[in-house]
Amino acid sequence: MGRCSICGRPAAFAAEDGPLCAKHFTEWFEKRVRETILKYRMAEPGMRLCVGFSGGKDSTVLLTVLAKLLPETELIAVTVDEGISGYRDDTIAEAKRTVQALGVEHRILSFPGFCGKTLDELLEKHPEGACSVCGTLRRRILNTAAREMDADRIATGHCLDDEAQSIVMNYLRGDITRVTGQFNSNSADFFIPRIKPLCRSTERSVVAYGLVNKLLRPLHECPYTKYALRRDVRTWLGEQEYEHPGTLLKIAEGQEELLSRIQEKKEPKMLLHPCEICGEPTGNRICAACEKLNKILNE
Amino acid sequence: MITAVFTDGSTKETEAGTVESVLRSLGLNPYEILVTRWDELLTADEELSDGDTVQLVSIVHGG
Repeated sequence: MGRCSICGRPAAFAAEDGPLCAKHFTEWFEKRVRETILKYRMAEPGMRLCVGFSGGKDSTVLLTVLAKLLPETELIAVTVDEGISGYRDDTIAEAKRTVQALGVEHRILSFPGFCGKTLDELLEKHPEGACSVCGTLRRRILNTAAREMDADRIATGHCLDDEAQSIVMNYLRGDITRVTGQFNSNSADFFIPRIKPLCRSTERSVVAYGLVNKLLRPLHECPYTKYALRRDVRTWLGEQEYEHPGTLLKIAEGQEELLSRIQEKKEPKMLLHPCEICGEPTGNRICAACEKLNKILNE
Repeated sequence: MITAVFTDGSTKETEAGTVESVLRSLGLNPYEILVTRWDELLTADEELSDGDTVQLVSIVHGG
């Protein structure tokens, strides 16, 4: 049996520095999140944070850790109900339970409230486009909500695995605009800055934190996951992380280094302006949300 | 034999061994699965004994 490298009790998690018991793993995990927040200057006392909170494992751990680490920061949890039959109701019930336990203000917004239709209705003809449509509309709803509540930042539960997967997916899609970043746009004038306090914590450590602290209950998988490129990338990267521990961090840190080198040399290139339909910011004539909705609703 | 219980309630039986070898014998990636016994999280080198029942928690379900 593995023993905690600090106190000798039975180990619950094999951290990079050695095996840790539940208590010392919890402290180690929270220290890593705190260091991430400080390194990237994500939050300061007195700020108001809009926390994207689905009620799933990542955002549940995020909200719990932020409430613990940032007692002088105002947290408002925002849940977006996309309208996914047989899935979202369970996570919303979990979300309500968690915010009640933490004493955090909670707002629930919905796709029908934004565009008149559930995600299931929007995807009737083309379910394979689920993640793109869902992600675009969720980001829009979250940004609008954060602006209306005068939030300083939007915090999301993206972890290290999500970061590494997105980087690899950008290469697989040949999306050089995303690979090279869009730092020199005027996006800060339109979008509430987003922070990802779990971005240097592996998914495995996030779920382990939720388990040892009794935060998580079994939830179904989103029924649209099977259509996602991310699922294949996730499986492959998971194998790499198992065979070559540290791979995910190397991918994320390599991307960070790439962007810092590019940023030094890059000229301003992309200016945002209001969408001709809804007035929200976009680099094109029509924003991504309106473009996707128009395409679906006019088919 | 040990009994592995999945999140959906389904079960599989397999030979006893370490957590890591049990997951591999079930065709699973040990990075993607956390294993608990009596509500305690186990590390990959933990030895499981005949008659043990363990819960498998996938880290990758949608959120």
